[in-house]
Amino acid sequence: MSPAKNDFDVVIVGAGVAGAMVAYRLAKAGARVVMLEAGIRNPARPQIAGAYAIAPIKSPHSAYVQIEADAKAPSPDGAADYEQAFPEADRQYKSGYERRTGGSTWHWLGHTPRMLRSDFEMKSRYGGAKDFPLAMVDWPITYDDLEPWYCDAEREMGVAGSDEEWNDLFDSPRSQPFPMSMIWPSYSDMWIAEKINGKKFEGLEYRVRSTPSARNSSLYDGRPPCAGNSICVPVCPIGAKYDGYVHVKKAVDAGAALWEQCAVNGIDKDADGSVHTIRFLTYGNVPGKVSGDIVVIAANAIETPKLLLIAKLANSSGQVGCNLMDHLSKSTYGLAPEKLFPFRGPPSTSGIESFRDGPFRSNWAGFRVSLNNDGWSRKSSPQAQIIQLVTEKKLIGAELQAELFESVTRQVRLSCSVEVTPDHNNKVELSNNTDGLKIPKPKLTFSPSDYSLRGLAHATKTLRDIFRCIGATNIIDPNDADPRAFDGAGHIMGTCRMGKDPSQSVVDAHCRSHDHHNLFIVGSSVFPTVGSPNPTLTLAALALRAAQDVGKQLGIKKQRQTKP
Amino acid sequence: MIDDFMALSRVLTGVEDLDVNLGRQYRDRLASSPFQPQLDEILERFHGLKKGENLVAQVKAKIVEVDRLRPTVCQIILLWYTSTVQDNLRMEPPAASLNFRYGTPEEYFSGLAWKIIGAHPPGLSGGYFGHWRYRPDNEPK
Amino acid sequence: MPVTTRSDLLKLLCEAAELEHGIACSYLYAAFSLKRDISEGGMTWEEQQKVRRWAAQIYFVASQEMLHLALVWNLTTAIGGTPYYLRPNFPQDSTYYPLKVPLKLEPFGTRSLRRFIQYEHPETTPIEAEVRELLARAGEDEEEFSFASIGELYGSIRSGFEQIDGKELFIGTPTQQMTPEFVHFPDLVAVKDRVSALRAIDEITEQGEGRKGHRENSHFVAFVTMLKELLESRATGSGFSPSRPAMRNPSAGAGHGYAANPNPIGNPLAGRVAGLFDSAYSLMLRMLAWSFEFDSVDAGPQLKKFCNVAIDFMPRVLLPLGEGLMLMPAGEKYPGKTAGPGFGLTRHVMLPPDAKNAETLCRERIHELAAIAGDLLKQPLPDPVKAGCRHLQAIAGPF
Repeated sequence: MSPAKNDFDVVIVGAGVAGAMVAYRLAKAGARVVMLEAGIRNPARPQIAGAYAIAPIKSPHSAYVQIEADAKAPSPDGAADYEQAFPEADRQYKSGYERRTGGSTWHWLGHTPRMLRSDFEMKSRYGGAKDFPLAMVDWPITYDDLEPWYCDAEREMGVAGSDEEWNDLFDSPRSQPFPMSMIWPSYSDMWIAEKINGKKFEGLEYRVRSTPSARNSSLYDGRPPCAGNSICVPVCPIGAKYDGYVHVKKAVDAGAALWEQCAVNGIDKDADGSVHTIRFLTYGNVPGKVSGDIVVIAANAIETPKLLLIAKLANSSGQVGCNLMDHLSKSTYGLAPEKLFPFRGPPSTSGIESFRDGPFRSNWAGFRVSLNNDGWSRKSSPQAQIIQLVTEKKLIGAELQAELFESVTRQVRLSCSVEVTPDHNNKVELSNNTDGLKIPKPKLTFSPSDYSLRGLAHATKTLRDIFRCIGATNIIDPNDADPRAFDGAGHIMGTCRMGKDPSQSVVDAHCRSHDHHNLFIVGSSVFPTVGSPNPTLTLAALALRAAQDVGKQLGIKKQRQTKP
Repeated sequence: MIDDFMALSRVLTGVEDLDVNLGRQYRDRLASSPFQPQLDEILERFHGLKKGENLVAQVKAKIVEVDRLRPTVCQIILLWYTSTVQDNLRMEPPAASLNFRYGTPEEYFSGLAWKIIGAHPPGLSGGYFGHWRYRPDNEPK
Repeated sequence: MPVTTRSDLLKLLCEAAELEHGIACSYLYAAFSLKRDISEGGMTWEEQQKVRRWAAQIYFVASQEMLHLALVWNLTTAIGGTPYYLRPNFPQDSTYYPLKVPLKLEPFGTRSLRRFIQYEHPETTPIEAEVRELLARAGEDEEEFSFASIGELYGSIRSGFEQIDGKELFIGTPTQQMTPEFVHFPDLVAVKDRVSALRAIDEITEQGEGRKGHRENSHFVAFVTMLKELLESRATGSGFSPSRPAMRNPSAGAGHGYAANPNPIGNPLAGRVAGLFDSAYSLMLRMLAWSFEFDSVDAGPQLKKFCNVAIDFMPRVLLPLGEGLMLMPAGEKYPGKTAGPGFGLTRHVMLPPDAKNAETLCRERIHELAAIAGDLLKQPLPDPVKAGCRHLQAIAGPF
């Protein structure tokens, strides 16, 4: 390592899962590391659960509301919290993020499927058809390049999964077993599986599989196994679900510094093109600065490009902020013919992977199907049923109880997550509006491609078919009224993509900026394409891999991976 | 007054063992809500019912059947079952977006609806790892 | 002294089976005693979060003890033995096992947690000063704590599998081995040779006491942490009372205990419920032991049926009956106390080798129990007891 002319060896902007994992690996290897986090530290988990309990609207951010932090380092909670280019509902970006120490994984669901081999090679594999989006690209790395890091990330987070169900899915083999055996499927999952496994739709076979999750099925890393508190989104009251704070704490224990309530508002560029000095404001509006031999930006895929745009850095390609992606999420609701007992266990424990890959991807987007255990809670259940039964059917007492037990226990929600394609015009820019520290807020432009909307249409039909197979009634499908309707999945990706060509990408295959040799970007902003899985495991794998590259650049020998 | 409220609540919820402290809290929340006038009338009617005879049937006939009073009846049940007040409660089908107001976390975790459906208040552990694989251990009838 | 004969190894495996089994029951008793609802009194909503987290942890540890029992049974049948499912009834004082720790049924509290910590403490390390001090702080009773640990027992068992020649030793048929396909233990190891046997043993000891330098995921550390948290909660001087006032070492039968000095339940209705618990528990055990003993090839349908029923029994019959008993009065002799399940094992045959006969015995018995449950349902009972009885009827119906 160089003699200390900078304050730290590494300055990391953002103490979410990506930044904290990098901080941990480097601090353990002896580097001097500081994490700058714009947000505050959260209160104890039971407090957060209590805040959730009385929140009028149960949104992801509802459990984390704190007036000063929300003004000084805002956490958008949905479409309405952004300035958006388009007014129409089907051209809005709908996913928010959490600016707190530990980041958005505080409120994530915890699902950790990997990307598939094809997801890294979309253009080579499926390109050429007239319906295939021209803007699709290949990643500069393959599934095989990332596979050992997937194993590493799974051990670091503590992932529970079924080796038998998941090994070698879609030609994407696993070289290590899951660290823990699977989160058990729910009663509802198993009932549905019995009805649909083996049946086909559009040539693809249904097979219900338990979803790999960063959720303990056993005592792991000193954290308890899942006890079915059921509010993973927005918080696990007992810490069975992994969140980035686990690695923040590990990083600090390993010697990293953590500076909270420091919102970065500038990065200086030296004459030789390197970036060393990070400028920030505290909540008291006091400016500060800190320097590092290497700078890592890990501020999520909206705040990262926003910062680069403010600092006018890393953008010779013009791609910073571009290719903003999410997954198109959509739910369909129904009543099963038998009681399935929702509102128990994690909100989702199983899914169907069959529609994520195949020749059809030349023409429409792949998607992942989730079976959910949260009934019609998104439609205000059970309150809505109580209101209906009392006001319309005039039921009270034992009769009301019996009717509730008869109906609410049969509620099913199926959902899907559709691949969104990169588009230069979908982007993060700087708004003229500023936050409580007078730092510009983001302005978003988002309009899903026809390719993705065709995928959404197939997904809609698929969910209806599953309901048909199980004999469900009382179907509620938002896409009946509007085929283009979708929700946000909470998967913010794509805005600083990696690539071999510096004119088309922001970072190289090692997450290093093409423009500034000592600047790295980690997180899902580096994804060139997104497939259909939840992004966190992939971004964690990339972060651990990038940490090794940062270490090499600092002159540190190979970092030790966690022992299996 | 609290005795009448508790007795009425037992009839409306179908649950015998109601916590009187919660009852006071719910009564107070109703007292400061638009439902207060109907609540007074409902309690007056309840007070006038013949005790000892089929109370459920009388409550249905004299209180629940009255269209104008039913939203408040519903509101009382909503409080005991889910600890929420629904300001938009009307006679027509409920508004597309319901805006619920909650009280304290203690009220939320004491909600009765969850046991009725064999579940648990979201946020409280449902038991132990894996219990969701089986039918509920607290499955009512 | 290393173990060098099959017979000695089998005897030790029986001791391990008894211990894992008895300890699991002791854990379950403590878990049953933890309150569920705020309306039970003695806890705020925040304390309720803590209490349910503790309960979930203890249930999880208990489930791993059951996994250990399953592993021990697999180890037993792999070397030609038959699964040992008996255990002495509660209480057993500290001289019964070389373990030197008493086996008791007690509600959750500092006393039970101290015992649990001793059950799980690691074999090789001397007990850390911090834990010693914690145990000393928590103790009010007269019993000395001592640290002969279960780890030593598994050390001996391990030596047997290491010493005795594999070709002579592993005479069980592979299809006798129970797998996760039949019982819901994803971590269950089928034992067929020395490597798999040692893996099974390592799994047991790692889960219990952890590995040297890696104890954070052990039962031992889980209980130490729980005791710390409990003492902290008490220290703040609140009216925090996490557990129901369940009696200690109950027995369902009046008078004729099969152990030294149990406490017979005095309240007749509670006694009947406790009797039903014992009968259901005994039947479940015998179905499971039979399933571990016999071959999935020869006895496939019965085996699957017994496993499914036994596995359904645990969460839907035994758990609600056990928890519910702690809401019923213990009897005049025990003022202020509630009842509890005695996990009493009475004399009974093992289920016979013939699969059809085994099924007949089980069918008759489960229908008898369902009838008892039906009778009980005519009485005023706490909701969990009613649920347990109804579920027993529901499971018995299609048997």
